[in-house]
Amino acid sequence: MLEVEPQLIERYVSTGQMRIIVRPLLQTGEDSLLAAHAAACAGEQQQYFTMRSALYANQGALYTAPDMTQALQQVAQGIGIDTNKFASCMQQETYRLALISQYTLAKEDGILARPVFEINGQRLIGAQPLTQFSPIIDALLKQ
Amino acid sequence: MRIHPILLVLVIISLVACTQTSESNSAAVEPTRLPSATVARIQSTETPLSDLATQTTQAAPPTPSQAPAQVNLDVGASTTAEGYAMLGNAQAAVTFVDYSDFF
Repeated sequence: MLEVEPQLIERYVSTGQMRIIVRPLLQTGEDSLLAAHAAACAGEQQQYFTMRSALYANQGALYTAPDMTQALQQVAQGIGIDTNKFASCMQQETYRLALISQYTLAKEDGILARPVFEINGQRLIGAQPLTQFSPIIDALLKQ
Repeated sequence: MRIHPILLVLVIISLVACTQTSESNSAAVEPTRLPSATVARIQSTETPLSDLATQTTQAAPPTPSQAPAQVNLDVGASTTAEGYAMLGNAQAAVTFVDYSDFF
């Protein structure tokens, strides 16, 4: 998705025809929650997607890190955001309950695998190429 | 012993044919000799292998039109109160939701 997303943004989002919503799933428990929370906290500094890319890039190291919170703080430092604001957001657990609540709703809605995409409610399960998304989006835009 | 005239003619024809085939084969196998001036001109345009390697590693970078588009996803992105990211026009005709996990 990291490869397809920029193309979707260039073709549809930048032209005002589509919006993208990234909803994190918490399938690996507390680690997933902390990572999703870190992305949300980075988002407060307009760095959600940068943080997301950094999290994916450091996925292996993060997963085996003895202290996930500290490891996430290092990732935040690595992308150059205000680490004090980031640490404060993480400590206050600003988005924790909301993320858990959203994940519960997603599960109740049948989102069990990952990744899953919904285009105006039309669900696609598994990673997809741009050629899979485009016909669906184009058809919706013609309606 | 007397040889029949027709047989004699056939033998002569066969001998002539064999001689011509042999000459044409020789011409095909023998390399054509280029004039020395032509050889010198070809050699002057040849590129040494070491230079070819250099050319490969020093290939010109892609022009801007060839390079993949670099999109900063965070321009215009916002974090919602629910902790997920939203990017793009809220009134857009299409909403694309990406459910994924960081692990």
